[in-house]
Amino acid sequence: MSVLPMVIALAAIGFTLFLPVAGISLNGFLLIGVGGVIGLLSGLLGVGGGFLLTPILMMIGVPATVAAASDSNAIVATSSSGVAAHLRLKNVDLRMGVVSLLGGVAGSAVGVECIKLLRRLGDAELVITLTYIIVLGTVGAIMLRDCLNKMRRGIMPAKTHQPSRSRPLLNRLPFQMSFPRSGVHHSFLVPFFLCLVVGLMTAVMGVGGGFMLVPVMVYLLGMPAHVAVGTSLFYILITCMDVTLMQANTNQTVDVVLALIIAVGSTVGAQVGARLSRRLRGDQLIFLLAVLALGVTLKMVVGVTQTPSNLLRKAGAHEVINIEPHSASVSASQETRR
Amino acid sequence: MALRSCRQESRNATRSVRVGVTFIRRMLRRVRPYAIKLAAACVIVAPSVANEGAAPVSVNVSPATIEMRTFYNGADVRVEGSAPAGSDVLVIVRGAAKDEFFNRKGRKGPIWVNADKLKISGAPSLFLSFSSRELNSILDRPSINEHKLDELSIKNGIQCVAESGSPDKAYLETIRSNYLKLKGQEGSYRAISSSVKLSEAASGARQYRLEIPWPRKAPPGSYHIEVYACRNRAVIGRAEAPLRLVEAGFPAWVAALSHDHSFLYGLLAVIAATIAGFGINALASLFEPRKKVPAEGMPIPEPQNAMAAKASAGRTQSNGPDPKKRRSA
Repeated sequence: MSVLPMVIALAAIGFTLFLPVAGISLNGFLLIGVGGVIGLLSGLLGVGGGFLLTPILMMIGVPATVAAASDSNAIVATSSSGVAAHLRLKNVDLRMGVVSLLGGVAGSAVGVECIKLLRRLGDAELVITLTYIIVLGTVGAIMLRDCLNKMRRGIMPAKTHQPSRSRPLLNRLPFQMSFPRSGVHHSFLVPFFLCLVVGLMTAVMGVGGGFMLVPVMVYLLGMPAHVAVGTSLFYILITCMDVTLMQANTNQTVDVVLALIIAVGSTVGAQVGARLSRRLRGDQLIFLLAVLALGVTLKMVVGVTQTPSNLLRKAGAHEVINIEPHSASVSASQETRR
Repeated sequence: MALRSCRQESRNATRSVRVGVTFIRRMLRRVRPYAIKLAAACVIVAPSVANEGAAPVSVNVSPATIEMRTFYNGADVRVEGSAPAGSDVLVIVRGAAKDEFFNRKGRKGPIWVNADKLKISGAPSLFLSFSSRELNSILDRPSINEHKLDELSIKNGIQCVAESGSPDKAYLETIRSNYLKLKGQEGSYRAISSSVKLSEAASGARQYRLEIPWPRKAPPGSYHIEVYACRNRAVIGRAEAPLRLVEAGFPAWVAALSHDHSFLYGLLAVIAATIAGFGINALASLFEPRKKVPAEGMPIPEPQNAMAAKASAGRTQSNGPDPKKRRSA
């Protein structure tokens, strides 16, 4: 990685950049550094990184709407670097990627309707927050328990990878397809509906697809963890391209300078992450993802139970406040356009 | 005859005098409102004219326009000028008020959630106060309130519209104080006393001088620099100058593109990001050591297993479920 010395050299200079859409000036090195960390996580674990990037950007002074829109642009760069690296490592199942995208898009459309319904019933915020904590916490805990079990016993093909009891039924479903890259055989409907649920959850919770998609692919679709990571990145790449276009078109809040300067760090980080993932076993990857998911859940729990230092929290000009740059905000921005 | 004509003449004369007097009276009646206004205007103008005559407050801001270019990193703004002899000087930087949107956190059961949506208006976007001495020692409360020279006086002007309905007094108070706290944390509202340097000019008037490290995070727009000369705890003179922050060069071009051709801009943003991602990947593959390529490109997991074996410190069996092995099978 001969790019690293360059990054370090930039650190020594410490330059500031003016961000045209955000309208503020920030330390470029800080952005590159943040990007590097997020890229590493993204390339390694197949998450988008918006869960980390949006709050960090808001903390250093980027207006909330610009932060949410621009980081989806930055994630386009990060995940395309990750996807490219994983493509070379033959870790991307494009066929599965396309099926999951179809499911994800349908799911987020349903999710937006759910949010509307919740808002009408009242207490939407409470339900969403609790769902977020429970779902992410449960997924994290299941992944962690499974990895620890495997590590303790030290072996045996994971039982989740073996045909389950319901398999004969699933095998009888129409539209059977094989996914050679993942080495699995499913009816089109299985990944489609699973990803529909993932899309729905991401739309409701406003948290990125990676946390949900990777475990679903590994545990329910029986895909190898490495391929799940690569394919998840592909899913994230396409959804974030869509979000960026939508946000630029409807809210004009995408700051391309901000995104590209983050990308300087994050694309390099994603390369390192993708290579690092090759050195780890599948269960080690899942272990790390579980720890990250539980960390995010813990942060959320602390965040909502502690008395806030200030009761006011800056919001965007529209309803799109709580939304992270994934399928959720695609539909949310479509929503605002209507 | 002569007497009669004489009387007649005098009668005529008095009549014409009377006519004249009524005419003047009528005229006066018509003119009176204007006259009163004129007099009032004279009274109002008088003190300021007097002040101007004695030692006017002047202000010179340099630069008057700050250009925000690609490597813009804040700027140093110099405010200087003269004030009447023996006065203290207060310099206020005020950004135009604009609507801001907030979520208000509220407790629901065990957790804090967004309980309300608010629109806050009537507060300046930037409020920096610089003075030659502590504000309360150079001005009394009514003068401070009249010109809105501190946070307390701004506070009462903050308006709020809530989604939950019009806020009551206590709620409004909570929102206002939280808003001021937020602005303080952001660095948008600050008061720095003893920052204005005063010196005596030969004519006896005061010269003042202030260097403002212009906040990097203040967005483009127009700002007002207000200078108040204060004596005996009252404002005796005031001057104002604008300061504009404009995007220039590349940032101006980008900002314009994002507004005027938003779809094209979005498309370019996506393409640029994608090229960045794939480009870095291409670069990385160039710099990659040759021997590694076959090991990574091939699905045969042997070197992988060796590495994994090392990593798992003796737990060699765990290579069994290695996904790559199954894939190659």
